[in-house]
Amino acid sequence: MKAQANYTWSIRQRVLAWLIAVMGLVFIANLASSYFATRQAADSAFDSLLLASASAIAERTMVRNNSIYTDIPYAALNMLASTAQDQVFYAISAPDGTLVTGYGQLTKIAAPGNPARGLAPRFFNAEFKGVLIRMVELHAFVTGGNLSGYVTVRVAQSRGERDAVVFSLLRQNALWMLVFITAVGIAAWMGISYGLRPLDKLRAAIGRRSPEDVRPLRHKVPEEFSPMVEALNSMLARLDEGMSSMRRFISDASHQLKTPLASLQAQTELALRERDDAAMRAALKKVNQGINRTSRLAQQLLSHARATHPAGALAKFDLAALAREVIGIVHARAVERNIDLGYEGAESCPLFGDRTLLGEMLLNLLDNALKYTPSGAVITVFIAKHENSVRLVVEDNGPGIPERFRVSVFDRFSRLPGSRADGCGLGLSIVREIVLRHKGEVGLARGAQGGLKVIIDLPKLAKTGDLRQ
Amino acid sequence: MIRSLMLFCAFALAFLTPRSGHGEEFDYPATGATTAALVIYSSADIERFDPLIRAFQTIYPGIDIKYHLLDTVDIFARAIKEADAGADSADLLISSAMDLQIKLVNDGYAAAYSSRETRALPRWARWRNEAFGFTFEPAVILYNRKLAPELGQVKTRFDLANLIGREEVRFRGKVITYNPERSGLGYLFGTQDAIQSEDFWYLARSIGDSKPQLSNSSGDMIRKVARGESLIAYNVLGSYALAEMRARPELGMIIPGDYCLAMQRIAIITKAAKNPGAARKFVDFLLSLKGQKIIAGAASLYSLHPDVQGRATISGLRAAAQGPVIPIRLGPGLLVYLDRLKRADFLRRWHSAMNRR
Repeated sequence: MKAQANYTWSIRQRVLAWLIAVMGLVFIANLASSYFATRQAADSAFDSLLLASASAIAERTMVRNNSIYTDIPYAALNMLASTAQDQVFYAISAPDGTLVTGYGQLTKIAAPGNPARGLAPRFFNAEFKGVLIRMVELHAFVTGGNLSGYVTVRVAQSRGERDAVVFSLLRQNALWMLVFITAVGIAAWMGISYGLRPLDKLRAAIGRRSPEDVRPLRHKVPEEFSPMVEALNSMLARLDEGMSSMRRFISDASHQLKTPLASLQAQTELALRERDDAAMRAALKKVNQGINRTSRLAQQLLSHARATHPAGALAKFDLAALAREVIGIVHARAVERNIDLGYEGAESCPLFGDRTLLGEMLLNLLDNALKYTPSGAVITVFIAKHENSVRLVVEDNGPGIPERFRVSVFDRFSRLPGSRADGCGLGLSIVREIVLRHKGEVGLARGAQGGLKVIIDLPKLAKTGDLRQ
Repeated sequence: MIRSLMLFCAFALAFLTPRSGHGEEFDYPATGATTAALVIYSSADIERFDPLIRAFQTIYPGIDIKYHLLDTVDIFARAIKEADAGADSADLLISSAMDLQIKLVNDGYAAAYSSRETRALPRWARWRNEAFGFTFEPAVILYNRKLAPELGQVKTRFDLANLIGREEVRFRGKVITYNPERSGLGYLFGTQDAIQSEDFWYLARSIGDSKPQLSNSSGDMIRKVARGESLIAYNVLGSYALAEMRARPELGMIIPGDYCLAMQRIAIITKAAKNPGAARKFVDFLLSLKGQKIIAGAASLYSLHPDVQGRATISGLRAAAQGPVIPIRLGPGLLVYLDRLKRADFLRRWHSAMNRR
């Protein structure tokens, strides 16, 4: 099978693109969520140490000689070095807000959050000396002499190590996610090859078939492909039906042509044996009539074949004009038999369709009417325009068709019992095929004067695609 | 070779007045075509650094070096002042005041640097990849072997305190130690002693009762002991003492057996550095095996590198010490004694120990 012009993305590309799009979203969501989770985890681990440091300082803050005094324990700052190599800042302020000791600028950083939360330790991020810091603020009660109140202890640490921990966890996480996505991608890639293997077998099986082989496919295929195989099988069935109907038609047609040709052969042999000029003439006249009939039969077979398989030129044309044209063609025969053939109805009737086929249809209808009505009869063609359709009626006052034959008469080569010899039984069959091709309907009824009334409704088609293929 | 260099150094030192020349500037023009200029503020005497700088310039002949000899407090103050003003400053700060160096790092004046050499440093000799210790110098007790041979029996601070207390008259005015109020290194040693043990205050009271002399530099103390003006010097830098002892056999050194503090000289690359590349090269050189060998040898400082052998090395010190050798750790703990109240409290205790009578 060659790649065709309407080739689109391969299944692999589709599946991978979809997979990558979804995985990408999951990847981003996962990174975002683990960023917040690890940041929180890192903060809570480091914060407890920060709090321990602040508490140690607070514990050694006291009132001495009516002023606040802090003896910062060596371990208070050193313990912060045990887990991280971060910068350390601290500040202790007296109850009145004045700096006791430490980095004075640190006390000027406003603590975010609700001060109403009271004296519980508060942790927050800030910027100090151009670096991001994590700070704890602690309040401790001191009393002595005339002084009592809450001192504020602030201990801060640059975020470096915390952020490094978060970053390294995130990097690890991202790395594993990428490994996972790659593995899924490879698995999907290989899985598709594996999954499509039955289809490959099917393709090979179809490729091996001869053009005439239209048996349904019996291969076992995955569930997903069974609708396709079913559709294929139903197409094969239709193809089979079409081919056998074609075969039937050809055999019918050759059979139909054999009879008149055999009679022609007999007549010509008879004529050859005649010695008498006048008798020979009469015999040749019969041969001539026979040839006319056979030729008409051949033409009808041809139009039938065209009506069933083919695609003629589709165009907009005037049905009323066409009707008048066809009437003109058969007018001489009507005059010869003293039949009143007339047209009634719309002056013009635009219609989209196959003009040749519809002309053939009209010709067949009029041919039938002329053939089966006695001389002096009346044949009328009506055309009426409706909103979405056109009604074409051919009515005569001949013998008509008994109701029980009004359906079967449309079958190919069907003929009414006891009807005249020169019909071949294709006329109405051709009419039906042509009407169906134009998505119309055809029906037979009893005429107003007891004859036959053929009623055809054709929809006003707009596009080529509306026609039955 | 190293031995002769060390002898040369010891000889040279004998004619030196340590801490003299502070504020001086020493130029080492590039020996090749100048590609970079390195400005160093350092508290280490030029005689110590001269062999290091020359060896460095044989590797990097294109680097022009300006060596400013400054007090530790000046290094600290100038680094801050110049950085805040955006003025020209040093690329590299080398100081024995560990606490002040840590304060500079903590307050954001240092630039981070990580290399194979810096990563090889032990945890206590490196902080934030910004401060790097490159020596390991013990605080020792120095005495005059001729005039006070009985000091040979002293093993610990407790022994020393008892001896001074027992022979009150003999040692009156003959003990010398750092004035922690004036000397940054003295303050560092004193506060670190105080962290180790309450016994320090027992010793401080003994020393105080002997009406001691106070000094601002190790070199000064060593000289006085050598001359016999003092008999005992407490908390002398072992690196300086070791160099001096070669020429002065009368000097005796005691590495305290209860514990021995070891300080590190700290190198910092400044954030304001104009030539951070040259400063990094110098740091790497100081920490390299080659640099450390010079530190242990010609520079006569104690080296930190575990692979350097000899007396003035970390392994030599550990072998000579009869007790634990405790490095003064780099880290935020050093900030504690820079606290205004903490310092006032320590000095108050110190003064009360010195002036009991």
